[in-house]
Amino acid sequence: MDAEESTRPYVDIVRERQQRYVKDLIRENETLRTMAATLESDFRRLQAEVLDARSALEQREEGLRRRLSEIEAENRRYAERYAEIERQSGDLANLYVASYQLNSTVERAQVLTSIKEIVINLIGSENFGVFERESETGDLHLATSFGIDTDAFATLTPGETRRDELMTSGALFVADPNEPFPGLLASIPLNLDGELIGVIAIFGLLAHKPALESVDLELFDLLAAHASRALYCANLHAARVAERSVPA
Amino acid sequence: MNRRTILLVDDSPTILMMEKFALAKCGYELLTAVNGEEAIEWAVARTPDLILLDVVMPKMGGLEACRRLRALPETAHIPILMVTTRGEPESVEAGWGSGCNDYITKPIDTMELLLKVRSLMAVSEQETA
Repeated sequence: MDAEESTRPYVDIVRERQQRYVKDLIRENETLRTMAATLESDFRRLQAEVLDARSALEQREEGLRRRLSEIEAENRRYAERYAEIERQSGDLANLYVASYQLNSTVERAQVLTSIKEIVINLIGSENFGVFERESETGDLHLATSFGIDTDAFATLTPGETRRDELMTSGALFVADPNEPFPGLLASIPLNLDGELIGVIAIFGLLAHKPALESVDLELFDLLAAHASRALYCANLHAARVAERSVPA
Repeated sequence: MNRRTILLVDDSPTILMMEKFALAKCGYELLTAVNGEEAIEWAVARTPDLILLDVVMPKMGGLEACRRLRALPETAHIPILMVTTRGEPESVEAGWGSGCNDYITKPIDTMELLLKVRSLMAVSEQETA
């Protein structure tokens, strides 16, 4: 404490110090307020940046999610298309196999076996008969069969029953699944040059096959065309062999 | 890498041809037999990766052949896919009882056949790895 100060009243000294202290506080307060304002502005700027970034990310995520669902849908479409092509390829293979088997021999027994195999293994029936038509009377004679009473079906005369009428009509008959025809599921005419030479009659399907499918109808068409020719050729061949075996 | 081999066993040439069509495009080597006896001979000689076995065949049917294949140490591990016209529970039960791994009913659906063959091949690959 200097001399002057020592002479001043104590109260003045304290007041002066207090004023200095208050000024310092005000200055410091001002500095802090400026810093707080700066921080607040930085915070708001950063908050806005975060919001922008989040919004951009959300948009990007939404875009990626949309693309993912598009790719998934595309993938499903391709998988369905692949399955469809695979199925069609299988159906075509079946048609080829059936055609090949029917045309690979002129032996009557082999032709009949091929027809049986096609009906059992490709159509899925174990209740059917293959009939040949006698041109003079129009009667149908059972040539081979599977799972039916051969005596009951040995000879069918046209017009005797509605079923026999359908079978001898020369037209393809497929029973309506909604209105099943009793005792006959399908009748496939074997026509050659417009003349009915035989019939494949299907009376039922395997237990685990609920109904005929589109490929079965194509097989019916194929059988109608190829089985008739194969059977006719086989009969011609058999007649020729028999002719040759008769001693001159 | 060796091609995977499948032994097709059926007395029906129609079914054998159809199975060949379906499986040849997948790159498998295909062997064929027309009855159970022939199937066992092929299986012992070549140890195929899978056997497609028809149930009803002359000389020896599929169920008996399956039982014999399971009894032989060199063929016991081979997956067997039974091919049957019978889808009824008792027929299926008989197939499982003989030791087959799975079954497929005739008329054969190509897609179903390919799925079952691939699935059994994958299991067989995992077991041998």
